[in-house]
Amino acid sequence: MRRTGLAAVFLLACACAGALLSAALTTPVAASPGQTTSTTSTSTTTPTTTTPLVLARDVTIGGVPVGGLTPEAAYAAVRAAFERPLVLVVARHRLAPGPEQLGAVAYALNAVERAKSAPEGTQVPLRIAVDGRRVRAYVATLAKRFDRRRVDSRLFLRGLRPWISKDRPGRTLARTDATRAIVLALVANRKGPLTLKTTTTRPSVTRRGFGPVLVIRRGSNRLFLYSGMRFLRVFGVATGQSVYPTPLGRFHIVVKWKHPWWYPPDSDWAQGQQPIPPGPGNPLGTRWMGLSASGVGIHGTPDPASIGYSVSHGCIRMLIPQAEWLFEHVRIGTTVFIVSA
Amino acid sequence: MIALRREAGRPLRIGHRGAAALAPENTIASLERAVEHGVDVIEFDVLDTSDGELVLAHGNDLHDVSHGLARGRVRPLTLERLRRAAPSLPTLDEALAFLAERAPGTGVHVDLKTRGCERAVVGALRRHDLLTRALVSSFHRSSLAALRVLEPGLPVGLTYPQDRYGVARRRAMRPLIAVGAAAVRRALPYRLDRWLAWTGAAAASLHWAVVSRAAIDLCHARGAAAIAWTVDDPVVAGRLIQAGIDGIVTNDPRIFEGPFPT
Repeated sequence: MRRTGLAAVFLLACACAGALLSAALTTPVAASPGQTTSTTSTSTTTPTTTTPLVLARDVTIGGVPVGGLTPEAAYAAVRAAFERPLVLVVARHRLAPGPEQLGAVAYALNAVERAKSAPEGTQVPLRIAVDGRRVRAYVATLAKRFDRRRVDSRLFLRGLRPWISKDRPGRTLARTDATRAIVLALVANRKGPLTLKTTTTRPSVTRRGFGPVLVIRRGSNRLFLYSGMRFLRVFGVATGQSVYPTPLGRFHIVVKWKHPWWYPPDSDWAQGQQPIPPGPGNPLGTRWMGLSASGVGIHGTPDPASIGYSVSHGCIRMLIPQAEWLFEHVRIGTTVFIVSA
Repeated sequence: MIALRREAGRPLRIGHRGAAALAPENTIASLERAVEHGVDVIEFDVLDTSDGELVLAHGNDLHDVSHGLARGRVRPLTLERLRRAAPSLPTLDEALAFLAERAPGTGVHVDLKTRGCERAVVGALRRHDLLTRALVSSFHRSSLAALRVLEPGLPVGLTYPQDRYGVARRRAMRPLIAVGAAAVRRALPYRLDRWLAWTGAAAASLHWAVVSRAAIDLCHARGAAAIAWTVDDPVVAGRLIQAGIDGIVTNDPRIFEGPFPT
């Protein structure tokens, strides 16, 4: 009984509250109609996005004609022009990085916005900002790909003949210039082809200008003169006897001496001998071409009969006129291979 | 570009996740309802799936996103599996295609829920020619910075506050939230200034409970628009309009039809 009474009171209270609330909600609307008038229509198109339908005639944005286009189409056209890849030519390779890959940002929306209110024939500039760090990083990857060190020719002996490896010039991308050129092209919305400059460094030792090479065949007592890999002449020589063999290996000429003195070397066969001045009896003849092997050299000999035999104390003996000729055709530093063949 | 500032008269009418009160939120049907009711801007949320596809979803909870059909998380799924769980879920491309075709002149307000999908979103807007009428908003300053680099001039909105732990959904927290919102509302004008300067945002997208006249005035002084979400109560809407709000995000666009009781 008591419970139903309470429920009745509660319901009554709710009803009262509801009535009050509805009154409170409805009255102000009648009091202030001006506030709501602007929000009543729902079907009309909004003036927020479609005010100018098309851009004025002959308007360009960054050189792209957009006259008569809707802002959307104008944006697409400007964007397409911006997005064309920048064609770069590096060392005869063509590359086409996208402008966004290079950190370029086009302010296309702003330009379209400005073009909306631009009068006929206006040339609206397209602002393009470029992140120099991105361009530098890209140029660094280019340099990594295209830069190469110069490769000098190297000399080997292959099958008793000198063989010279190929030389290759070095190539260096001019990074600062490349970065600047790319940034300028991007900012101006130019898409190239842009040739990036490289500098070439010549190798210091080349196959073509390698110079003389000597190969001495100890077994057959012959001296071969090559210019690089090209054979020039062969001479008969005398080499060391079996007790004092001519050393085998790769040497070079360290001394060139015209009309040399002969000094007794520090060896048993020369014990007690005196130095011999230049002259007809000098055992070195008129020319001395000392090798990097100690005490060994190529020289003329007053004893032509020994040529063709292994009779010397280690040196390579030649006929005096031939030694004089050879002297003029080798340099200090010329490589001398001595092989056992 | 979309005009966000209220020139005179009424504020922008923004449909929340389409028109969430009239159809399941973040679906094409919901977008259709919003267009039918003539909203100025349609708002929806974008989430990325594990295979990089962007879908219309506002959170990681599959139960919500599939409208109760499945349980679990959204982001670990691929689009294909997500489609099986939630057949009515549109991809961003589908939604934008719909808007480009069926809603010419209607603005697009994309709310990014995760970081890292800015490029894909801008690309999609570009593909559908919608950049000139788009607003992209996010909680994350880094997202806004990324957007500014991807497409300078694209209006970006700073969303605040972010309910990171879903406290607002818990009934028990309600009194606490009311107090919290009041505190945030008081503090907001002092913080908003800095945030707007940092982000260069064209709009501040604020929860209605933290909006104050001071906050709105500050946005205007910074040249930004103030947008309030999610207002389904005409009384609140009326109050916000009087305070000078530039846009109101609502689940129910019908509130703009009737009078605003005060």
